[in-house]
Amino acid sequence: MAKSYLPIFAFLSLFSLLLIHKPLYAQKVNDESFFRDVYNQYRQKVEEYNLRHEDYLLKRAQYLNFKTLTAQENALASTKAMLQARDDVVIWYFRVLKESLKTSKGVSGSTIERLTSILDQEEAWFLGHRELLTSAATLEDLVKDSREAEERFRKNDPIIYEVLISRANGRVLDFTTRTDKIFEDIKAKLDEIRKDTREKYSFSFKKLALLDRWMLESQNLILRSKEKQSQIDGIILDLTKAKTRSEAEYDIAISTLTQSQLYLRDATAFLEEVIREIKTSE
Amino acid sequence: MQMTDKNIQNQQDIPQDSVSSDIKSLKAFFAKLSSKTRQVVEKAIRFAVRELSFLKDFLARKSLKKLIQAFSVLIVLLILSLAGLGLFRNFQKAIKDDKALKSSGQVDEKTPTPISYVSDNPSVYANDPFVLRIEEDLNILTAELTRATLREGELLPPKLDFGVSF
Repeated sequence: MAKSYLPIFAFLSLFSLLLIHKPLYAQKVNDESFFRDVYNQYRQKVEEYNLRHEDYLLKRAQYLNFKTLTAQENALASTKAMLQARDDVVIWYFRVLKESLKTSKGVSGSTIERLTSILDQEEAWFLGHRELLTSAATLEDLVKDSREAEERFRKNDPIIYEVLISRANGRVLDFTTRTDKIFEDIKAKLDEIRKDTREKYSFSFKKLALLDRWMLESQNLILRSKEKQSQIDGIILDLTKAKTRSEAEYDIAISTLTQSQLYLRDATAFLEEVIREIKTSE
Repeated sequence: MQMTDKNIQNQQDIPQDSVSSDIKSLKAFFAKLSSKTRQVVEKAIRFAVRELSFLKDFLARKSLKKLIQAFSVLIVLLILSLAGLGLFRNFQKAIKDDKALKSSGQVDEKTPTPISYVSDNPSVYANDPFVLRIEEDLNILTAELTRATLREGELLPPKLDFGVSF
């Protein structure tokens, strides 16, 4: 009886282990998982801030209407809580940006290091500012502290948008590198076919001319895509020099990168046709 | 006979000191203890024999087999429920992660997997491993290029009220 149950138990144990186990993927998966955790915590902080902000608006209105000492004390407490929650949102937003950089594809190590270092400094400033808020004794102090945080946060606009543009640019750069690799592989295969004179292995001149034309079309589209990408460096330079509005520059960068992505998509469509023809006999 | 009577007389004449009385009382105590211990041991053996016979009868009964079967079924059910719970948790986590990824703009809506092209007139390169690898890489890249959304709305700066005034 025991012998007959043993395989069932073994199977069930293995089955349950397979279901309950945690996946052990590469570091990238861990980074992405950590990024999601940080992002979820950031969303929680935003929700907390929204609640504190509503309370602040109510207490502020009561104080402005009644001007009593109790209303003033309530306004002071709720404003302080709201400002602390606001600093928390900013701190966690910077953490999200840092983690998002780690999970980015195609962004260079030096860019990640430079941006992370700046974000670290800004996070430290907001952590200090958050602590400073606890010592505020009057509403005037809090208004002054709030203005300081506002100035600091606005100053970070170029860095924030540089992170976002770098991420998008990195993705397109990754697509381009892979397209280039596939293009070179197909080109090498076509050269090999061209040299092969065996029957069934060689293609007619007409077919090879058609494949060459598609390869050329694909190459031109890849070049156009790269031209679009080259404009991104200029946009990032403008951002760092704070010449223009960061959000507007971000929109332009995304639009340019989307065009670059579309060119790559068209280029891969031609490459697909080439592969299809290689796999088809005349 | 005379000697024996004399010995007895002598023994009676010996003055009874405290040590001898202690030894006597100790002997009496041990005698009493041994008889009691014997009684307890005998009682325990009787009890054990009775219980063992009961156990023997119980083991002989079919109810035990049923009990073991029921216990096994219970264990199987427990393992299955644990496995189900694990699956449910993994499923929930996957949904949560998927939502988080979507909201962060990292993954876009799912698109159907393209059907790979099968020629009705294949060339000698149709099963070439190099060509097949290129085709696979190309299919993956095309799918990613089609799905990718570069604008990450959820990563834009949060909307915060900086206009604090009284």
